Amino acid sequence: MGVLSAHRKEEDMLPGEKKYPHIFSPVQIGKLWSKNRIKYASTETNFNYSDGFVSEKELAYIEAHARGGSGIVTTQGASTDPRGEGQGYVGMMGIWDDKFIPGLKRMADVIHQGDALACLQLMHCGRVGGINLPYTVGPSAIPQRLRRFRPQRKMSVPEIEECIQEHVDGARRAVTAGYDIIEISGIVGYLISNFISKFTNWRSDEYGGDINGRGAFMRKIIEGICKEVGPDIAVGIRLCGWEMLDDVEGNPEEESLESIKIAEAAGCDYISVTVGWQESLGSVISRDIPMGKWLYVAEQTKKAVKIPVSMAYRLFVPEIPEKAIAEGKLDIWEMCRPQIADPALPNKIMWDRQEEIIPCIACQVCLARLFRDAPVTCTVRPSCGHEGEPEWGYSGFDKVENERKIIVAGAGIAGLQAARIAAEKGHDVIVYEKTDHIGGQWYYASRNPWGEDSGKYWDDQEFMRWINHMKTQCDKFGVKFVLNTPVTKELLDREKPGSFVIATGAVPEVPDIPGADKPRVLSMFDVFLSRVELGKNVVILGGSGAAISLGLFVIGKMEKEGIKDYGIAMIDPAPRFGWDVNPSYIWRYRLRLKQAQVQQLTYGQVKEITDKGVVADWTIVDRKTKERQEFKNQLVPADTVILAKLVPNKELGYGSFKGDTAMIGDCVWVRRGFDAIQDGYRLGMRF
Amino acid sequence: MILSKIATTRPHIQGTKMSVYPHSGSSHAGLYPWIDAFRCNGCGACARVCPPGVIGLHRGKAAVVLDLCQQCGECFETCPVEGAILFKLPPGSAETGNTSYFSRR
Repeated sequence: MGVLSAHRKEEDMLPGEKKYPHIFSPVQIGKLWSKNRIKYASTETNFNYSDGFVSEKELAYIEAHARGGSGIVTTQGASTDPRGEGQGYVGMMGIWDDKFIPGLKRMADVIHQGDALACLQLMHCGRVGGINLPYTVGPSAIPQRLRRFRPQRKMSVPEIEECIQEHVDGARRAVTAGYDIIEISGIVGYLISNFISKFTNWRSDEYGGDINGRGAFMRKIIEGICKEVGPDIAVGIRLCGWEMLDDVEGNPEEESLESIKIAEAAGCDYISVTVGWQESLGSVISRDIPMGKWLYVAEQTKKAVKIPVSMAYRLFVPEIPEKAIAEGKLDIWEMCRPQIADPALPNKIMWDRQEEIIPCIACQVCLARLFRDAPVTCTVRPSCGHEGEPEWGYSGFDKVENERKIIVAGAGIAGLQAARIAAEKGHDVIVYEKTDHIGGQWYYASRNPWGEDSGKYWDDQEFMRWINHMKTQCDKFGVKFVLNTPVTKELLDREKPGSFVIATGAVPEVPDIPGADKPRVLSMFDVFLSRVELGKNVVILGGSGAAISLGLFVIGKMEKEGIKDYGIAMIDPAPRFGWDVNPSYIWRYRLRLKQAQVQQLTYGQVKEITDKGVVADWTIVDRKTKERQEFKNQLVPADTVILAKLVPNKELGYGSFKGDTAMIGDCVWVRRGFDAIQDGYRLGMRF
Repeated sequence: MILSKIATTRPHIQGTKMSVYPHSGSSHAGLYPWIDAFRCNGCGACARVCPPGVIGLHRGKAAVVLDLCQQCGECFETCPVEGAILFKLPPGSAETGNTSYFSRR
């Protein structure tokens, strides 16, 4: 199907195809041709029923991706064994019995209707599996490093052989169901990677020893599947290019490369290369990794093998993979999170309408929810998981009959999202913003010091990608923005809106203590905008995620300005700081605070702010020994005090307008950006 | 306003004796109060008037224990805010058409 596009004349090509000719060129995988080089990577969703059957929700989700324009659409991993040892997620689909074939076939048909190659992933989660069991299986019994996972049990040789046979049977069922490509997952701690890694495989029999012995399990699976499915079906594998487990003697990169060569020799038609395990200590896919950082792993792999190489991690914009494919570092651009955020991403690139792409901000809420056995949702696209429900408006909202004038107070993320949907439904929307910029708290958050080698201390610009996207969408649907104008009663009386939306967000709480009105007591928002000068000793009143991000900003600022002898302290009543931050990020934030020697004064009560510092009570509890150290009326030296405890901004209440009034976002209750966008979206749905 | 259009469906529907929720113990149509948290101003009028006392305030918004709701509609009648309480079929049931389905797009 894909070869056709190779012979197209230039005038027939779409603008994006001209702009990114390598991404939209066909690629051969085994005997198959893919229409372009975009592959929707396998993503667990937890949408399926817990007994392994495919749900309608998953079908609608996959249909959205199939219609999105990817050349290859991969299903989520299918569990191969009936005992549940390979099941790593509650909503994982099964392929261990013929009873699953009808559901899998419906999914394959949906993908084929979208003119994409259907790829099924076989996944045995190994060390991170056994979600409903008290144990997991693996080559050796190695203690787990993460608390979530269960203790590992050593597999006997008959068990291993049975497991290989189950993979082969799964591949046979997938071919019966109509899939074109069979992919095997051997990444991030799943069973095949357990066998390959030196860290988890201590066996001395035929499945252990050197890299050839450790790769024997994978080789036998690939050979068995290739023999079973025949030459017309392509077989691929996902493998680690670098395990990132050097601290526990995992494979060095040369041995990982060797395992990829074994897979090629066994008959694989493509390799999808990844980096890192779930137990790695470094960050791999989060926002502090610059886009395209891991391309060198794909480049190494590409030099070592002849088959196509694909890669997924941190390739969010088409320019980077386009350049990499042109330079011969990569063959297929794999994507997972950018396509959760916008399934229609390939089509939008093809038409060169990139401003319409909902950008992923790498917030990891999808991952965090997977590990809490919840279905995947997306911060920036609340319709995720509701693609089949028209009222959620995945494919746009219909115009309503009773259009009215809607005034939104506040152009933060909640207000923007509500305004955009209301305008799409045909209402006349005016957004009033008190400050001179839109984006609310994300405008400040975009100045966080993440991003390696940026040379700036504000480089979390990925938040602004979403704000800019939302602004262009609002402009498209005719939302009017009025900046520097707070909403007052007179304004509402004059404008007489049909509905009034309060999205005024949060403000830093000014504590009711002596000295709170001193000039060195600053608001965190002024600090983010660098409107004020900071001293060397900074005390931050607050311990939530916003306060931690402010702490990181201050650390980054001090370091970039070359100030060595700075001192930062955080005071909050909470027992542990950063309780509302995503677990994928908080460990790194805490590490950074520790490195910068930020004092975290837990159970803190601020008594007074004086010229010398902050007088406060606090208690430090040792997390291991549970020892409590109480401090009473101590002075924390400070020349700058920053207020960072956010409270709802109640300057506009329900009584401010007589007609239909709704309140969304942080002004209801201070939560995360995820909740603010959900609020805006859900209110917009009701207009 | 479109919300008041939906809300004109009164809770007492004649002519049906079947309940959507088997455990609700009610012979009504199975309509339940549904609170629009963005419009609820937390006045507590519904909580005071609810005969079985299953409405409370959580974080300044009304919240209902749906399993014990008797579907009398008092809260809907009392609510001073237009559109803050609607009567709806329970979310996610086949009768509401709220289940996800294989789209015809």
